[in-house]
Amino acid sequence: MEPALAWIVLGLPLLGAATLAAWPTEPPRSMTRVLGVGPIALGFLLSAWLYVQMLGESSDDRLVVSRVWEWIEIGDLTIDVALQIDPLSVMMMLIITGVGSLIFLYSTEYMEHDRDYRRFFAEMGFFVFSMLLLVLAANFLFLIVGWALVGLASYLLIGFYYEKPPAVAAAKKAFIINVIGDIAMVIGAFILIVELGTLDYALVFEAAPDGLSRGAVEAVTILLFVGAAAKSAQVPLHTWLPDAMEGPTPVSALIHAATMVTAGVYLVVRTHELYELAPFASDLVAITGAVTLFLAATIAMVQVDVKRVLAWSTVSQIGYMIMAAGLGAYGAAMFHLMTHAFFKALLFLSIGIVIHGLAGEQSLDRMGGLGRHLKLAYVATAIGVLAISGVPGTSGFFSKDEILASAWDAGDLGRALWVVGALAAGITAFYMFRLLLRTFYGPEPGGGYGVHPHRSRWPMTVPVAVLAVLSLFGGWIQVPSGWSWITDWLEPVIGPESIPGQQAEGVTLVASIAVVAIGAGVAWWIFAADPGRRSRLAGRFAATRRLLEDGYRFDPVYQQALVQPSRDLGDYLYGRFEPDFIQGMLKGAVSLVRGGAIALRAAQDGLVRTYAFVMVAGVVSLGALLAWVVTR
Amino acid sequence: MPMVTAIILLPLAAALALAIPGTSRPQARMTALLAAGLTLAMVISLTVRLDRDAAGLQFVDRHSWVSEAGLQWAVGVDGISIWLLLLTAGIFMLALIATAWRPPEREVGFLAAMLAGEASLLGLFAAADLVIFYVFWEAMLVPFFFLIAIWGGEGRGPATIKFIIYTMVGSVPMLVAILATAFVAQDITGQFTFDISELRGVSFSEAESTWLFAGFVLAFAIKLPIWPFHGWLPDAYRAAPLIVTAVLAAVMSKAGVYGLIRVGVPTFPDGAANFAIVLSVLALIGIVYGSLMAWRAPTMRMLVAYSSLAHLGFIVLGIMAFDIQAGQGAVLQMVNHGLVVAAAFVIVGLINRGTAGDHIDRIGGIASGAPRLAAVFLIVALAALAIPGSNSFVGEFFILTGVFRHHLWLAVLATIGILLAAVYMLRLYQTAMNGPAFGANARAIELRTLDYVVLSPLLAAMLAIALWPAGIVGSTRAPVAKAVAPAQVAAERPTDQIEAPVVPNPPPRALPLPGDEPEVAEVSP
Amino acid sequence: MNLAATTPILIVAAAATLALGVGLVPGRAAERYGPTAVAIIGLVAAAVMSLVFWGDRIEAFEGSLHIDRFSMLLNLIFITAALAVIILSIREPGAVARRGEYASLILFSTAGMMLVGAAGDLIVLFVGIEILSVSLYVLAALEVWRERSLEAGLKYLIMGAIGSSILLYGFALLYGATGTTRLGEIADALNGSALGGEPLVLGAVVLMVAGLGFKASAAPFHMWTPDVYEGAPTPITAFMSTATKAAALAAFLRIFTAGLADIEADWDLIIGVVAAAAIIVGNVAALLQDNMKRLLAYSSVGQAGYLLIGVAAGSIQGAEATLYYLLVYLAMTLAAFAIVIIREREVIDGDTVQALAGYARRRPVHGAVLTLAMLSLAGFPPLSGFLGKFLLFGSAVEADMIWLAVIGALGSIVSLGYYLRVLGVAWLGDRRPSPAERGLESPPLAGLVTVTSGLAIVALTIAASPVLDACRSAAESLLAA
Repeated sequence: MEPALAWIVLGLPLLGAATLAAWPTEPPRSMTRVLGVGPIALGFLLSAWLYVQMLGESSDDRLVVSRVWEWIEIGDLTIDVALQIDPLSVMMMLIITGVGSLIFLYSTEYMEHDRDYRRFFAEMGFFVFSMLLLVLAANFLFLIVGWALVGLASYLLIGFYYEKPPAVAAAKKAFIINVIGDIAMVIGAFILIVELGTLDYALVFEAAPDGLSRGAVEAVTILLFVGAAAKSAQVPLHTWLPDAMEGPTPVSALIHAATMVTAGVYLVVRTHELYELAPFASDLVAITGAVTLFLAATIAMVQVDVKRVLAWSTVSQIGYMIMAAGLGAYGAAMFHLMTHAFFKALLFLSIGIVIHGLAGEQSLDRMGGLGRHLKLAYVATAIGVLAISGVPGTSGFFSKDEILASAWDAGDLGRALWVVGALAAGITAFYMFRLLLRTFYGPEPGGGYGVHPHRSRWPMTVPVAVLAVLSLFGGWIQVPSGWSWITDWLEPVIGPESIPGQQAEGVTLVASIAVVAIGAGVAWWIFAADPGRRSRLAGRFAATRRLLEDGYRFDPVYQQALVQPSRDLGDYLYGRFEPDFIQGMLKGAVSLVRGGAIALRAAQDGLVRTYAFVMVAGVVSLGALLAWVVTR
Repeated sequence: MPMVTAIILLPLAAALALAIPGTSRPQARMTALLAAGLTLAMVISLTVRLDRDAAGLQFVDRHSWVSEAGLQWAVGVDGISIWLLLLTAGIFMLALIATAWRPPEREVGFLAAMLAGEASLLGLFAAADLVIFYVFWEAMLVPFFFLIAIWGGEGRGPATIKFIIYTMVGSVPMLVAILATAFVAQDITGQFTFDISELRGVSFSEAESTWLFAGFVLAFAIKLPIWPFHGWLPDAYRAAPLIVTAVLAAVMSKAGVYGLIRVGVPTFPDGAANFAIVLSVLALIGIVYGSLMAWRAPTMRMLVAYSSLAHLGFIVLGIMAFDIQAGQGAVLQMVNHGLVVAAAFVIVGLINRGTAGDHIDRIGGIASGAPRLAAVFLIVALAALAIPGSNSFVGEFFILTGVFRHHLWLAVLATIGILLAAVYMLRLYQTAMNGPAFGANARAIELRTLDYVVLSPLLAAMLAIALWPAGIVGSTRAPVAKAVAPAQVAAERPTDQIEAPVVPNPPPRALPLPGDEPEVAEVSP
Repeated sequence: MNLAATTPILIVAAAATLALGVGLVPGRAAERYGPTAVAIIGLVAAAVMSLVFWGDRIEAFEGSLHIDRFSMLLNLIFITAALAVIILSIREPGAVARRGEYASLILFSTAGMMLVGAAGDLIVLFVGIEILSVSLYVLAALEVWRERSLEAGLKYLIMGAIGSSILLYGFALLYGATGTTRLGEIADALNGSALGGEPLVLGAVVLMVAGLGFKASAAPFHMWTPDVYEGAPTPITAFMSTATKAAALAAFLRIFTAGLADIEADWDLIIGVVAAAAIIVGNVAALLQDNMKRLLAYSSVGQAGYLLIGVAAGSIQGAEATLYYLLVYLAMTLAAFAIVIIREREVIDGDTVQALAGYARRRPVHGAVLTLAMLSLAGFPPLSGFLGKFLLFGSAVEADMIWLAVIGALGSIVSLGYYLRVLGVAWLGDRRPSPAERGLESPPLAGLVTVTSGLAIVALTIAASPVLDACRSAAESLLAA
């Protein structure tokens, strides 16, 4: 196996991005395309080659750490610039570069009309580099670095249309919340350094069982999870992701659906040695995942903006993965991570075709009946909907069922979460079908479409087609009580994993088919069967609707509880405290001296008698002083 | 040849040469740039030749000055000070280039004052003797007094006065403390000296140590500044011409921290240990306070000024933690902060080039007209908020690691500063660069050749540090270990953390018995 | 009986008489330059003789005169001051009007100071002080056509009378306590007497501190200083603030550091308090002065305080520091006054601070000297003024009077307030309304004096080592008595 490959894959996107960024003028679009897509595609091929090479290795030799130079030696802590190449990172590489190159290709067409063509691809390339660094890093420090850099890339791309205030605000929000996550991880790293004196994965995991007290390991894992939650939009740090849809749709597809937001799952799996030592933290992770997947699913039911529907569904799906990871079903989590990358990217891209065709229209209220105009988008979206809803045979079906099945087997907590998950699966089916129906079925909005929905050219259609295929059949690589390639592949990293039992599989199978059917049915009943019914129901559940539309009002609470008070404090300090107190100190001292000077000037009245008096008085007081001193 | 002395005297000589009436502008520019460049070259050669594993001073020059009073000329460098010398020489080089390119009126005088300032700062960082340290500490005021008073903007008068008074209030107790140190040390060791290395390890009683440290620390606290002694900072930064502000923030603000790690902590370990918590808490307050102020500051200058108050708080935390990692991080952070804040002020200057005032909220959308500046600005802003992967992150990360080891909550609370840094830097960047364009002439703001000349070295240095911090940190381990070791002992730290040997001076056996203290009467050794 | 040793004093006295005579010779040239020339020659000769006698210590008139390094060093100070003043006074209205008297009075007063510096006997000391004071009373009032000058002379006379009487009374008490006026014998008499053992002595201490404090214009005996300094002709002011102060300090050192060394515990606090008072009052009061002469008057009050720190320390180091600072102070003050004098010649009320507005920019050399003088007076490192204060504070710290050092240090902060103000005006100020030019050309050699003093400030920094050696040997010779 050739570690250099990993370095090349890591370097290529950065090279492309740097070249684009450094180019003195806006380069010709054709070249931008090459420099944009080329590195990622090449990276995918190389990753595939690396994968093939790794297949050749015995499972023990599949863990390689490749050091380049000693980054720092401070105190007795040494940190290298090093990559960890193992099944997990290779799998992530494949997903990132694979899905990435498809979306890049798509973007070449989608962004065609945009002024900042070059900037878009430069920033996307930078993102891919950061993401690869995140998954390839061999120690926590560079994990954090990659972690922050993807946050930066996401900030840049959310705020891509920087003239639009909402985009700018959304970008800021995403950045700040991610910083909170970074800080938590940094503090976790402090604990590791102080307790174990190293940040290298291998050494940490090796030393953790004996080196870390129970409290310490719980603390570390919880802190790491705060980072994960911030990045993967888990409650309560999820509020940034829906706003992130301000970015261009390909960005939403790649960063805020397929890859970056799943980094939290990767983190938990990567550090599972620690989580296995921290039952409390693991349960916390699982519960957080469950809560998130349920809340997000309910919120998604009422969103009107298509991309927001998908955004909330992303939050919900990641909730599944996090829950699985928390329950120790790492294989299942990674499996769902992969399939989700497929079908969520597919959904965004196909919906993107719609938005593109409608010249930027995103509101469900002004869609409908598009099935007639945009066949391919229709079909693709339908496939995506089936997959995400977990309709039997699609990729989502296998991965989601494996998660639920493993939940079933995971004790009482697992059972409880299983219920939540199953319920949410039904809701998922509901809102996804709602999306499908309201977009492509039914009557066209009043007045029809201002612009005629136009078809897209191959760079947009091909990726959609490929992803559609993957979404349909991608699940077959891991079939219950058949074969489990993912879990086996990851086995060197995550260790042998118990396959869910027959009973679990059975129950889950039945349950999920049932809930999906119900969810889809209800959606049909409301949105397709009788056009008028939607508005009637909407009237009946107005309050609930509003609560859900506001996403349970997390944002206003944060605003009033945290942001505004500290802003007021700042204003007070700047407006009153600083001038009155800080500057006052000096003013006081100075005026004191001045006062003395004025007094002395007054005493200097030019009269000899005064002078004589002062002099004699001085003599007397000196005498008194001396007398006091000697008699004391 | 006495390299370090030459490094200090060259700019000074150039300044005096420029002070001769009738120097023409071109001559002045040539002299200034030549002198600064040569100085920089010499500093670099020192950096290359420095023994990175040595703890003590290297390239030491000693000459007796007033032997009757134990006064001497003693300068040298070690793994800590070399980087500050490099920073000083580099920043001043850039500042002079910028000056020569866009000259102010009375240019010759300006250049002379700048060179004098450079000399005094170089001397301060190279001082190996308390009196020399004090001399440069004070001498620094003269050039900056004139720089602010003559070339400053509105409100320069009060600003100058504040600047001078504050600094003197701090430095005068320091003078007395220096004298007291020498005499008290004479009681203990029997030799009268102001030599820092010989005063190191003198076994002061705890009370003596505390009082003497107190005498010094006020000066450092004001120079830094540590909250609440920062009253002079906003006015000075506001009133000074931008180049001078950049120099003040980038280089002069390091004088205080440097004093702590060079004089305060190593010489008076017990005192330092007694003050550790107080100073750390004040620094912490400074971090949060400065960040909040920066967040609400109406003008860009004030924002950067207060952010620098916050960043210096981190450095103080690192030094007062008496931890090798934190100490090394602090030294690295001194350099980082110098680079970043200088770049930040340069950018503020560029923006002011195309705006009516300095108010943040009255401009916007510059990015569309000046994309390159926006890009550079973003990089600097990210470095300023210490995003992981930036050079500042390395420094703050290891500072807080060390602090965390000893004062968990201080470190945790300090992270508030990191969060707020993101808040205020983004506020600055986004309000100025993003949103609909208004209030600024972006064409005038966009980077030009000179701006690249000035900015690219700074950015290159940041990148280099981010990629290979070991380059700087590697040479600081031994000196930092030596500097903090006594304080670590005083703070009763576990021995496995203490790397450098602590030799009491005089060695225990030589300590005078109650009866036979040496007479204090002799000033001359 | 070695009259030879007193030649410096005799030369000066003789020159004084001669100058008086020459002044009467008719003819413009003689009238104008005669006395000046005589005075300069005499002073130079006296300086040479003082250098000749440097090294050996001779007791003249049964020890009522000590011709030792201490007195010789002070001679040089007095003579330098007198020389500078005489040079600066060329074409001074008062000098011109008064022909020979001017020069000769300065010389007489110088002779008196030299007596004080060499005094080994209370009587001699008092006589010396009286000689110097009486001549100064006259000099202060010399510009009879100026009311202020007369007022100054009168005030100085009255206050001086009070001061002298207090001093004399102090001497009397000391004589009563010890039965001798010879300082050496007084020292022996007081040898080993306990703290506060002798009430008479304590009284004497207080009165002498007051009396000499008056001459040194230390607070609270300084009240006359601003008025007199402002009123007197500026060269005379310069003379008073340098030479007279030096003489007073010489007396302090002779009496306390040398004579009363054994009962130091009785007086070090008193002198410390006076020093502190002088530092505070002088520096604070100077903040609000708009007249350079008044400003320098108050600053000289403060400087007197610094000089007294060395006395309060009561050690060789103290004396050494005081002597060194006297030299530095001479250079700084002469530089400052030289500028004022030159400015006065150029414009009406050139003695105001405002008159200096923008002056430094137009006359960079003068500006540089002024800057040196002001910064050095403020004790800015590494200038000699800083070095002197450094040594003085050092002696205080060493004598366990840290509080005194702190007060001194704080004082120097406050002093920045007005010294820097002068600099600020001189460099940055723009003159409006521009004062009426007066067009008197400045004294021919004034520039020389200015630059020399400026250079001296620097030289005393760089070559501090040999100078301090001299001061130390002088201090030792003082205590050898």
